[in-house]
Amino acid sequence: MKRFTFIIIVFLILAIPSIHAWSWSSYEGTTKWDVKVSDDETGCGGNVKTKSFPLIITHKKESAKLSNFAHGSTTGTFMSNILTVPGRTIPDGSGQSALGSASVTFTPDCLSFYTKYPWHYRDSYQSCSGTTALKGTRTDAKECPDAFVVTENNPINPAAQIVAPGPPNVANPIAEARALPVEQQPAAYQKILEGKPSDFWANYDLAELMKQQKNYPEYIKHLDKALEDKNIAEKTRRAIRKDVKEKLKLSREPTRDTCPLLREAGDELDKSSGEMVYNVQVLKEPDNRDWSQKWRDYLSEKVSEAVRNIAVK
Amino acid sequence: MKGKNTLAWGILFLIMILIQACGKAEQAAEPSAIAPCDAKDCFITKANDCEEVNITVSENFGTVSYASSGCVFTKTMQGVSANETAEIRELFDGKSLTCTYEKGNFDPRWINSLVFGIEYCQGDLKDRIVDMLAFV
Repeated sequence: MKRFTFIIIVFLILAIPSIHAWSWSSYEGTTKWDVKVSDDETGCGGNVKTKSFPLIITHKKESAKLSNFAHGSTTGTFMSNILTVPGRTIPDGSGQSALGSASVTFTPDCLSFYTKYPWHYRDSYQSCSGTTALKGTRTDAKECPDAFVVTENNPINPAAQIVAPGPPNVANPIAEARALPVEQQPAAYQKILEGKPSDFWANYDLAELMKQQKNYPEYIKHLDKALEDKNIAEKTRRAIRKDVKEKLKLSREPTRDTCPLLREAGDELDKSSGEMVYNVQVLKEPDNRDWSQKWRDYLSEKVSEAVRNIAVK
Repeated sequence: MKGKNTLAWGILFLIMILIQACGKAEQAAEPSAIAPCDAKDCFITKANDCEEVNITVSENFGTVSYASSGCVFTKTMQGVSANETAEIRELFDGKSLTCTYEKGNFDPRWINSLVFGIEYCQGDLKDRIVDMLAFV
Protein backbone atom coordinates (compact mmCIF):
# COMPACT_ATOMS: atom_id res chain seq x y z
CA MET A 1 0.00 0.00 0.00
CA LYS A 2 3.02 2.26 0.61
CA ARG A 3 3.61 2.50 -3.10
CA PHE A 4 0.24 4.17 -3.57
CA THR A 5 0.69 6.66 -0.78
CA PHE A 6 2.03 9.40 -2.98
CA ILE A 7 -0.50 9.24 -5.75
CA ILE A 8 -3.47 8.60 -3.54
CA ILE A 9 -2.63 11.47 -1.25
CA VAL A 10 -1.92 14.00 -3.93
CA PHE A 11 -5.01 13.11 -5.86
CA LEU A 12 -7.27 12.84 -2.86
CA ILE A 13 -6.07 16.16 -1.57
CA LEU A 14 -8.02 17.65 -4.40
CA ALA A 15 -10.27 14.96 -5.79
CA ILE A 16 -12.54 14.75 -2.82
CA PRO A 17 -14.52 17.97 -2.54
CA SER A 18 -14.51 20.31 0.34
CA ILE A 19 -18.01 20.28 1.67
CA HIS A 20 -19.46 23.71 2.10
CA ALA A 21 -23.00 25.00 2.35
CA TRP A 22 -22.43 26.74 -0.94
CA SER A 23 -20.40 25.71 -3.93
CA TRP A 24 -19.50 27.98 -6.83
CA SER A 25 -19.07 24.90 -8.97
CA SER A 26 -22.86 24.55 -9.06
CA TYR A 27 -23.64 28.12 -10.07
CA GLU A 28 -24.47 29.63 -13.47
CA GLY A 29 -24.56 33.38 -13.92
CA THR A 30 -22.35 36.41 -13.42
CA THR A 31 -20.87 38.00 -10.33
CA LYS A 32 -19.08 41.32 -9.86
CA TRP A 33 -16.03 41.92 -7.74
CA ASP A 34 -13.52 44.53 -6.80
CA VAL A 35 -10.04 43.02 -6.91
CA LYS A 36 -7.05 44.42 -5.06
CA VAL A 37 -3.96 43.32 -6.98
CA SER A 38 -0.60 43.46 -5.19
CA ASP A 39 2.39 42.90 -7.43
CA ASP A 40 5.59 42.19 -5.55
CA GLU A 41 8.31 43.31 -7.94
CA THR A 42 11.11 43.56 -5.38
CA GLY A 43 12.89 40.67 -7.08
CA CYS A 44 13.02 42.77 -10.24
CA GLY A 45 14.40 45.86 -8.56
CA GLY A 46 10.96 47.38 -8.05
CA ASN A 47 8.63 47.45 -5.10
CA VAL A 48 5.18 46.22 -4.12
CA LYS A 49 2.50 47.91 -6.21
CA THR A 50 -1.16 47.65 -5.28
CA LYS A 51 -4.05 48.60 -7.53
CA SER A 52 -7.75 47.83 -7.63
CA PHE A 53 -9.63 46.56 -10.65
CA PRO A 54 -13.28 45.70 -11.31
CA LEU A 55 -13.81 42.06 -12.24
CA ILE A 56 -16.75 40.21 -13.72
CA ILE A 57 -16.83 36.44 -13.43
CA THR A 58 -19.07 34.52 -15.80
CA HIS A 59 -19.91 31.23 -14.10
CA LYS A 60 -20.94 28.13 -15.94
CA LYS A 61 -20.88 25.59 -13.15
CA GLU A 62 -17.33 24.24 -13.00
CA SER A 63 -15.96 26.60 -15.62
CA ALA A 64 -15.53 30.31 -15.05
CA LYS A 65 -14.45 33.16 -17.28
CA LEU A 66 -12.71 36.09 -15.65
CA SER A 67 -12.91 39.47 -17.37
CA ASN A 68 -9.81 41.46 -18.19
CA PHE A 69 -8.05 42.65 -15.07
CA ALA A 70 -4.41 42.85 -14.02
CA HIS A 71 -2.95 40.25 -16.39
CA GLY A 72 -5.75 39.98 -18.93
CA SER A 73 -8.86 37.85 -19.18
CA THR A 74 -8.64 34.14 -18.51
CA THR A 75 -10.64 31.06 -17.64
CA GLY A 76 -10.55 28.69 -14.74
CA THR A 77 -12.16 25.64 -13.24
CA PHE A 78 -14.10 25.46 -10.01
CA MET A 79 -13.82 22.52 -7.69
CA SER A 80 -16.24 23.35 -4.94
CA ASN A 81 -15.09 26.82 -3.84
CA ILE A 82 -11.57 26.63 -5.24
CA LEU A 83 -11.03 28.14 -8.67
CA THR A 84 -7.98 26.83 -10.45
CA VAL A 85 -6.56 29.14 -13.09
CA PRO A 86 -3.85 27.49 -15.19
CA GLY A 87 -0.49 29.11 -15.66
CA ARG A 88 0.12 31.05 -18.89
CA THR A 89 2.63 33.30 -20.58
CA ILE A 90 1.67 36.86 -21.46
CA PRO A 91 3.44 39.74 -23.25
CA ASP A 92 4.71 42.14 -20.62
CA GLY A 93 6.44 45.39 -21.57
CA SER A 94 9.44 44.61 -23.74
CA GLY A 95 9.45 40.98 -22.66
CA GLN A 96 7.07 38.38 -21.38
CA SER A 97 5.90 37.00 -18.08
CA ALA A 98 5.24 33.37 -17.27
CA LEU A 99 2.42 33.35 -14.74
CA GLY A 100 2.15 30.40 -12.41
CA SER A 101 -1.15 28.67 -11.94
CA ALA A 102 -3.39 30.04 -9.20
CA SER A 103 -5.69 28.32 -6.75
CA VAL A 104 -8.23 30.96 -5.88
CA THR A 105 -10.00 30.29 -2.61
CA PHE A 106 -13.55 31.65 -2.35
CA THR A 107 -14.89 32.09 1.15
CA PRO A 108 -18.03 30.13 2.14
CA ASP A 109 -20.03 33.36 2.53
CA CYS A 110 -19.52 34.03 -1.22
CA LEU A 111 -18.28 37.56 -0.51
CA SER A 112 -14.55 37.35 -1.05
CA PHE A 113 -11.68 35.40 -2.55
CA TYR A 114 -7.96 35.41 -2.29
CA THR A 115 -4.96 33.87 -3.98
CA LYS A 116 -1.30 34.39 -4.63
CA TYR A 117 0.67 33.14 -7.61
CA PRO A 118 4.26 33.43 -8.79
CA TRP A 119 5.46 34.88 -12.06
CA HIS A 120 8.72 35.03 -13.92
CA TYR A 121 9.56 37.98 -16.14
CA ARG A 122 12.13 37.83 -18.89
CA ASP A 123 13.32 40.21 -21.59
CA SER A 124 16.60 40.73 -23.35
CA TYR A 125 18.00 42.64 -20.38
CA GLN A 126 16.81 40.86 -17.31
CA SER A 127 15.16 37.78 -15.90
CA CYS A 128 13.48 37.99 -12.52
CA SER A 129 10.64 36.62 -10.45
CA GLY A 130 7.92 37.91 -8.19
CA THR A 131 4.44 37.21 -6.94
CA THR A 132 0.98 38.63 -7.41
CA ALA A 133 -1.59 38.50 -4.63
CA LEU A 134 -5.28 38.99 -5.36
CA LYS A 135 -7.98 39.81 -2.88
CA GLY A 136 -11.48 40.05 -4.27
CA THR A 137 -14.52 41.59 -2.64
CA ARG A 138 -18.00 40.99 -3.97
CA THR A 139 -19.72 44.18 -5.16
CA ASP A 140 -23.03 42.99 -6.60
CA ALA A 141 -24.50 41.24 -3.54
CA LYS A 142 -24.02 40.53 0.13
CA GLU A 143 -24.86 36.84 0.07
CA CYS A 144 -24.51 33.70 -2.01
CA PRO A 145 -26.47 33.79 -5.29
CA ASP A 146 -29.13 31.41 -4.04
CA ALA A 147 -29.75 28.95 -1.25
CA PHE A 148 -28.77 25.86 -3.21
CA VAL A 149 -26.92 23.44 -0.99
CA VAL A 150 -24.48 20.95 -2.43
CA THR A 151 -24.59 17.60 -0.75
CA GLU A 152 -22.71 14.40 -1.29
CA ASN A 153 -25.70 12.88 -3.02
CA ASN A 154 -26.24 15.77 -5.38
CA PRO A 155 -25.00 14.84 -8.85
CA ILE A 156 -23.93 18.42 -9.45
CA ASN A 157 -21.08 17.79 -7.12
CA PRO A 158 -18.77 15.91 -9.48
CA ALA A 159 -16.71 14.18 -6.89
CA ALA A 160 -19.81 12.80 -5.24
CA GLN A 161 -19.73 10.08 -7.85
CA ILE A 162 -16.37 8.80 -6.78
CA VAL A 163 -16.54 9.04 -3.03
CA ALA A 164 -18.38 7.09 -0.43
CA PRO A 165 -21.69 8.50 0.80
CA GLY A 166 -21.33 11.18 3.39
CA PRO A 167 -23.68 12.06 6.18
CA PRO A 168 -27.30 11.34 5.20
CA ASN A 169 -28.89 14.47 6.63
CA VAL A 170 -28.26 17.65 8.52
CA ALA A 171 -29.03 16.02 11.85
CA ASN A 172 -25.72 14.21 12.02
CA PRO A 173 -22.63 15.57 13.80
CA ILE A 174 -20.65 16.13 10.60
CA ALA A 175 -23.34 18.34 9.10
CA GLU A 176 -23.64 20.18 12.39
CA ALA A 177 -19.89 20.75 12.49
CA ARG A 178 -19.96 22.05 8.94
CA ALA A 179 -22.69 24.50 9.82
CA LEU A 180 -20.58 26.09 12.55
CA PRO A 181 -18.43 29.19 12.02
CA VAL A 182 -15.04 28.16 10.68
CA GLU A 183 -13.19 28.97 13.89
CA GLN A 184 -15.44 26.61 15.86
CA GLN A 185 -15.24 23.71 13.42
CA PRO A 186 -11.90 22.15 14.50
CA ALA A 187 -13.14 21.62 18.06
CA ALA A 188 -16.38 20.09 16.75
CA TYR A 189 -14.49 17.66 14.52
CA GLN A 190 -12.09 16.79 17.34
CA LYS A 191 -15.08 15.94 19.48
CA ILE A 192 -16.41 13.59 16.81
CA LEU A 193 -12.99 11.97 16.50
CA GLU A 194 -12.79 11.37 20.23
CA GLY A 195 -15.75 9.03 19.85
CA LYS A 196 -14.76 7.64 16.46
CA PRO A 197 -11.10 8.29 15.53
CA SER A 198 -11.48 6.76 12.09
CA ASP A 199 -14.49 8.83 10.98
CA PHE A 200 -13.69 9.65 7.36
CA TRP A 201 -15.54 12.94 7.03
CA ALA A 202 -14.38 14.29 10.37
CA ASN A 203 -10.79 13.53 9.42
CA TYR A 204 -11.18 14.79 5.89
CA ASP A 205 -12.93 18.03 6.83
CA LEU A 206 -10.42 18.67 9.58
CA ALA A 207 -7.57 18.02 7.14
CA GLU A 208 -9.05 20.58 4.77
CA LEU A 209 -9.34 23.11 7.55
CA MET A 210 -5.74 22.51 8.55
CA LYS A 211 -4.65 22.90 4.96
CA GLN A 212 -6.41 26.26 4.74
CA GLN A 213 -4.61 27.30 7.91
CA LYS A 214 -1.31 26.06 6.43
CA ASN A 215 -0.90 23.70 9.36
CA TYR A 216 0.60 21.02 7.14
CA PRO A 217 1.64 18.45 9.78
CA GLU A 218 -1.96 18.30 11.06
CA TYR A 219 -3.28 18.35 7.52
CA ILE A 220 -1.22 15.29 6.58
CA LYS A 221 -2.04 13.56 9.85
CA HIS A 222 -5.79 13.79 9.31
CA LEU A 223 -5.60 13.09 5.61
CA ASP A 224 -3.63 9.92 6.33
CA LYS A 225 -6.25 8.94 8.87
CA ALA A 226 -9.05 9.59 6.40
CA LEU A 227 -7.25 7.43 3.84
CA GLU A 228 -7.48 4.48 6.13
CA ASP A 229 -10.89 4.16 4.52
CA LYS A 230 -9.65 1.81 1.82
CA ASN A 231 -12.95 1.88 0.03
CA ILE A 232 -12.68 5.57 -0.78
CA ALA A 233 -8.98 5.42 -1.59
CA GLU A 234 -9.47 2.48 -3.94
CA LYS A 235 -12.52 3.95 -5.66
CA THR A 236 -10.74 7.21 -6.32
CA ARG A 237 -7.63 5.49 -7.54
CA ARG A 238 -9.63 3.39 -9.97
CA ALA A 239 -11.54 6.40 -11.24
CA ILE A 240 -8.41 8.44 -11.81
CA ARG A 241 -6.62 5.57 -13.51
CA LYS A 242 -9.55 5.10 -15.85
CA ASP A 243 -9.61 8.78 -16.66
CA VAL A 244 -5.87 9.01 -17.31
CA LYS A 245 -6.01 5.89 -19.47
CA GLU A 246 -8.67 7.50 -21.64
CA LYS A 247 -6.93 10.85 -21.70
CA LEU A 248 -3.68 9.29 -22.90
CA LYS A 249 -5.59 7.02 -25.30
CA LEU A 250 -3.99 3.91 -23.89
CA SER A 251 -5.45 0.60 -24.96
CA ARG A 252 -4.63 -0.83 -21.52
CA GLU A 253 -3.31 0.38 -18.21
CA PRO A 254 0.48 0.14 -18.03
CA THR A 255 1.99 -1.78 -15.15
CA ARG A 256 5.44 -1.95 -13.65
CA ASP A 257 5.98 -5.25 -15.37
CA THR A 258 5.13 -3.95 -18.82
CA CYS A 259 6.47 -0.41 -18.58
CA PRO A 260 10.09 0.33 -17.60
CA LEU A 261 9.24 4.01 -17.12
CA LEU A 262 6.59 3.13 -14.60
CA ARG A 263 8.95 0.72 -12.91
CA GLU A 264 11.51 3.49 -12.50
CA ALA A 265 8.92 5.93 -11.14
CA GLY A 266 7.55 3.29 -8.79
CA ASP A 267 10.97 2.32 -7.53
CA GLU A 268 11.78 5.92 -6.81
CA LEU A 269 8.55 6.39 -4.89
CA ASP A 270 9.07 3.16 -2.99
CA LYS A 271 12.54 4.22 -1.94
CA SER A 272 11.24 7.59 -0.82
CA SER A 273 8.68 5.91 1.47
CA GLY A 274 6.34 8.79 0.81
CA GLU A 275 8.89 11.38 1.91
CA MET A 276 8.23 13.37 -1.19
CA VAL A 277 4.66 14.02 -0.17
CA TYR A 278 5.72 14.97 3.28
CA ASN A 279 8.59 17.08 2.07
CA VAL A 280 6.32 18.93 -0.23
CA GLN A 281 3.33 19.35 1.97
CA VAL A 282 5.11 19.88 5.24
CA LEU A 283 7.48 22.38 3.69
CA LYS A 284 10.66 20.72 4.82
CA GLU A 285 12.53 22.30 1.93
CA PRO A 286 15.48 24.21 3.36
CA ASP A 287 14.79 27.40 1.47
CA ASN A 288 11.86 29.75 1.42
CA ARG A 289 10.32 28.60 -1.81
CA ASP A 290 6.76 27.50 -1.40
CA TRP A 291 6.99 24.00 -2.81
CA SER A 292 3.69 23.04 -1.32
CA GLN A 293 1.76 25.72 -3.13
CA LYS A 294 3.49 25.07 -6.44
CA TRP A 295 2.93 21.36 -6.28
CA ARG A 296 -0.72 21.65 -5.27
CA ASP A 297 -1.35 24.25 -7.93
CA TYR A 298 0.03 21.96 -10.56
CA LEU A 299 -1.79 18.88 -9.39
CA SER A 300 -5.03 20.73 -8.83
CA GLU A 301 -5.21 21.37 -12.56
CA LYS A 302 -4.73 17.69 -13.25
CA VAL A 303 -7.17 16.53 -10.64
CA SER A 304 -9.83 19.06 -11.54
CA GLU A 305 -9.67 17.90 -15.09
CA ALA A 306 -9.84 14.24 -14.08
CA VAL A 307 -12.76 14.69 -11.74
CA ARG A 308 -14.68 16.87 -14.18
CA ASN A 309 -14.32 14.26 -16.88
CA ILE A 310 -15.52 11.57 -14.51
CA ALA A 311 -18.50 13.67 -13.51
CA VAL A 312 -19.91 14.17 -17.00
CA LYS A 313 -19.90 10.48 -17.90
CA MET B 1 90.34 24.19 -23.52
CA LYS B 2 88.64 24.00 -26.82
CA GLY B 3 87.52 20.45 -26.00
CA LYS B 4 86.01 21.58 -22.68
CA ASN B 5 84.13 24.39 -24.42
CA THR B 6 82.77 22.00 -26.97
CA LEU B 7 81.61 19.66 -24.21
CA ALA B 8 79.95 22.49 -22.31
CA TRP B 9 78.17 23.69 -25.45
CA GLY B 10 77.12 20.12 -26.14
CA ILE B 11 75.64 19.69 -22.65
CA LEU B 12 73.87 23.03 -22.92
CA PHE B 13 72.47 22.03 -26.28
CA LEU B 14 71.21 18.76 -24.87
CA ILE B 15 69.58 20.52 -21.91
CA MET B 16 67.80 22.89 -24.29
CA ILE B 17 66.56 20.02 -26.39
CA LEU B 18 65.28 18.29 -23.24
CA ILE B 19 63.51 21.43 -22.05
CA GLN B 20 61.91 21.88 -25.44
CA ALA B 21 60.83 18.24 -25.51
CA CYS B 22 59.26 18.54 -22.06
CA GLY B 23 57.40 21.65 -23.14
CA LYS B 24 56.01 19.85 -26.17
CA ALA B 25 55.02 16.91 -24.03
CA GLU B 26 53.20 19.29 -21.68
CA GLN B 27 51.47 20.93 -24.62
CA ALA B 28 50.42 17.56 -25.91
CA ALA B 29 49.03 16.67 -22.50
CA GLU B 30 46.96 19.85 -22.24
CA PRO B 31 44.01 18.78 -24.41
CA SER B 32 43.39 15.73 -22.28
CA ALA B 33 43.36 17.94 -19.15
CA ILE B 34 40.17 19.55 -20.48
CA ALA B 35 38.19 16.36 -20.25
CA PRO B 36 34.79 16.31 -21.94
CA CYS B 37 31.85 16.62 -19.53
CA ASP B 38 30.08 13.33 -20.05
CA ALA B 39 29.16 12.35 -16.51
CA LYS B 40 26.29 13.47 -14.31
CA ASP B 41 28.55 14.83 -11.56
CA CYS B 42 30.36 17.01 -14.03
CA PHE B 43 27.06 18.12 -15.55
CA ILE B 44 25.70 19.12 -12.15
CA THR B 45 28.81 21.14 -11.34
CA LYS B 46 28.70 23.04 -14.60
CA ALA B 47 24.94 23.49 -14.57
CA ASN B 48 25.14 24.80 -11.02
CA ASP B 49 27.44 27.53 -12.33
CA CYS B 50 24.99 28.14 -15.19
CA GLU B 51 27.61 27.09 -17.73
CA GLU B 52 26.56 25.63 -21.04
CA VAL B 53 26.69 21.85 -20.85
CA ASN B 54 24.87 18.91 -22.32
CA ILE B 55 25.12 15.17 -22.02
CA THR B 56 23.18 12.18 -23.22
CA VAL B 57 22.71 9.34 -20.79
CA SER B 58 21.38 5.85 -21.22
CA GLU B 59 19.02 5.35 -18.27
CA ASN B 60 17.12 2.21 -17.27
CA PHE B 61 14.01 3.55 -18.92
CA GLY B 62 15.53 5.03 -22.06
CA THR B 63 17.96 7.53 -23.50
CA VAL B 64 17.77 11.00 -22.06
CA SER B 65 19.59 14.16 -23.01
CA TYR B 66 20.25 16.76 -20.37
CA ALA B 67 21.18 20.29 -21.34
CA SER B 68 21.71 23.43 -19.38
CA SER B 69 22.54 26.93 -20.45
CA GLY B 70 22.11 30.25 -18.73
CA CYS B 71 20.44 28.70 -15.69
CA VAL B 72 17.78 26.98 -17.78
CA PHE B 73 17.79 23.20 -17.63
CA THR B 74 16.16 21.02 -20.26
CA LYS B 75 15.56 17.29 -20.04
CA THR B 76 14.55 15.56 -23.23
CA MET B 77 13.48 11.98 -23.63
CA GLN B 78 15.37 11.00 -26.75
CA GLY B 79 13.90 7.54 -26.80
CA VAL B 80 12.28 5.34 -24.20
CA SER B 81 13.27 1.73 -23.74
CA ALA B 82 12.60 -0.62 -26.60
CA ASN B 83 10.64 -2.67 -24.10
CA GLU B 84 7.95 -0.01 -23.88
CA THR B 85 4.78 -0.39 -25.90
CA ALA B 86 4.31 1.71 -29.01
CA GLU B 87 1.72 3.78 -27.14
CA ILE B 88 4.14 4.70 -24.39
CA ARG B 89 6.90 5.42 -26.90
CA GLU B 90 4.61 7.80 -28.72
CA LEU B 91 3.70 9.53 -25.48
CA PHE B 92 7.26 10.10 -24.31
CA ASP B 93 9.67 10.12 -27.25
CA GLY B 94 10.95 13.59 -27.97
CA LYS B 95 9.09 15.14 -25.03
CA SER B 96 10.96 17.54 -22.79
CA LEU B 97 10.67 19.62 -19.67
CA THR B 98 12.39 22.84 -18.75
CA CYS B 99 13.37 24.12 -15.35
CA THR B 100 14.61 27.61 -14.55
CA TYR B 101 16.87 28.11 -11.56
CA GLU B 102 19.23 30.55 -9.96
CA LYS B 103 23.00 30.18 -10.06
CA GLY B 104 24.11 27.81 -7.33
CA ASN B 105 20.64 26.32 -6.95
CA PHE B 106 20.62 23.61 -9.60
CA ASP B 107 18.50 20.75 -8.30
CA PRO B 108 20.45 17.47 -8.81
CA ARG B 109 17.17 15.54 -8.69
CA TRP B 110 16.38 16.84 -12.17
CA ILE B 111 19.17 14.66 -13.51
CA ASN B 112 19.22 11.90 -10.90
CA SER B 113 15.50 11.22 -10.75
CA LEU B 114 12.57 10.70 -13.06
CA VAL B 115 9.93 11.89 -10.64
CA PHE B 116 11.40 14.11 -7.98
CA GLY B 117 11.96 17.82 -8.21
CA ILE B 118 9.80 18.56 -11.21
CA GLU B 119 7.36 20.82 -9.38
CA TYR B 120 9.13 23.89 -10.74
CA CYS B 121 9.51 22.60 -14.27
CA GLN B 122 7.26 22.97 -17.26
CA GLY B 123 6.71 20.91 -20.37
CA ASP B 124 5.07 17.90 -21.95
CA LEU B 125 7.47 15.49 -20.28
CA LYS B 126 6.45 16.72 -16.84
CA ASP B 127 2.77 16.37 -17.73
CA ARG B 128 3.28 12.82 -18.95
CA ILE B 129 5.27 11.79 -15.89
CA VAL B 130 2.57 13.09 -13.56
CA ASP B 131 -0.11 11.34 -15.60
CA MET B 132 1.78 8.07 -15.33
CA LEU B 133 1.92 8.34 -11.55
CA ALA B 134 -1.74 7.34 -11.56
CA PHE B 135 -0.61 3.83 -12.51
CA VAL B 136 2.19 3.47 -9.96
